[in-house]
Amino acid sequence: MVRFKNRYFLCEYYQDDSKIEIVASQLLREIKESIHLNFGDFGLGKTSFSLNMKYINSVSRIFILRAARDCKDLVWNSLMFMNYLDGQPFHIRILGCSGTIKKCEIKARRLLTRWIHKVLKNEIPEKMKDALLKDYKQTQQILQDLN
Amino acid sequence: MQQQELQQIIQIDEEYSDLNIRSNYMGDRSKNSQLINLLISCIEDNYHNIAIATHFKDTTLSPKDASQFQAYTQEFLKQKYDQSTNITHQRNYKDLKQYSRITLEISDSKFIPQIKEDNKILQSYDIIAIKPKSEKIFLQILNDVNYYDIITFDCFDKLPFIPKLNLIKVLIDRNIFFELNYSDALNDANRRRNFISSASIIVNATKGRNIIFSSDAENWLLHRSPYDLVSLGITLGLKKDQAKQSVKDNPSKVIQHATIRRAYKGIIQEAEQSEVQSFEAKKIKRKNLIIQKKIKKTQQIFQ
Repeated sequence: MVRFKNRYFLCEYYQDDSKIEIVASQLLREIKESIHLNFGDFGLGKTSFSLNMKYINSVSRIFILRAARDCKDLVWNSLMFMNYLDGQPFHIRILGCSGTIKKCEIKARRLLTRWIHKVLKNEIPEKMKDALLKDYKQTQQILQDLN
Repeated sequence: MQQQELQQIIQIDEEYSDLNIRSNYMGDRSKNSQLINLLISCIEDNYHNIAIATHFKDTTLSPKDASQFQAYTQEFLKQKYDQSTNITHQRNYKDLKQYSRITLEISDSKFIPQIKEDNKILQSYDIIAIKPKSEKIFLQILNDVNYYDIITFDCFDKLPFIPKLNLIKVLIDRNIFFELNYSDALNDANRRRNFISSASIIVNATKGRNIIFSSDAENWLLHRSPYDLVSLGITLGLKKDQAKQSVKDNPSKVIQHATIRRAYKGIIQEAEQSEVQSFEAKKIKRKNLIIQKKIKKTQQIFQ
């Protein structure tokens, strides 16, 4: 029996000024443009069936992408070549790639706990601290419900 | 036999490394914000070794060209690392080792005889790299010169020559590596096409062995993590094992080759005190492990 298999990418983006908020549809459009630049109509056609955004968070700048297993190389290389978004410098880094969404979410939770311990050691005003902690607890619950 | 003894003493663990970084800054080292941001993004990407390069094009070296390289202290980098707000793989701060490197771009054969052991200006750099511009010079470097580590190629215009398999086999026996620079391909469309075509020619000529990926970058924007470079290597034609080696094992072999080349005729190298202490601590650990194993064995026999 031949099954249809997927790969899930866990990624992080960062930019110079953190004032611009990025929405899921905007990021997807940018990724499809860069696939069209590098691999043409052929690449877009092959990957567009199962290219989807599963989760995005703008405070900790994490998102989870889904792609088919046959064309994961095309998606990975075109994520590497992205440089600008609406004129602002912009950069994507991939933290992991796995076959199920459960492993991605376990890794995301582990990295987020380390990140929060590191960020809270610096001197931040108290309002920011409360906002960060709220967001952290919300993401832990949302990630568990993704299954 | 000398090489084997030296390799046992200088044990380098498997670490990721990036051996080509540009910086043209003159002045106060602690205010060089471009370089410092680059180094911190390297630490977050899991890199362990780094080399900062200076370029010379068709000149005879004079004493004012000696290296003025000073490494940043680990405490200074740790302060800046704690202030950044990006997600990383590591729990704590890991040490980042910095080396100095020189690249010579040669297109005329009268600049070759200055590359020898007695040249004191070349002795002040850790790693030496040569960029040949024609096939005649490539042959001269094979036969005459012995004092270098890396051969680089400029992939953004048409390749000046196509290397052949017979000559490359000689270089692979001597443990010399070929380098590909990838950072300019991330900006321009024309350069991207030339990079993919010339890089696949070189991978074809060497059958995938002895290849290094390194970035020629000044900015943190044009710098990618080693996890991404493995997939670049696979699309260029390398196999899975070779693509991992090109980022992990091969650059550490370059550093071994460089230290052995410098210490061949009895020149003593200075070691930092922190390295000596860690080396002696490892010795004591190993002794304790051997003693514990022996105790376990005797307990099993007598039970």
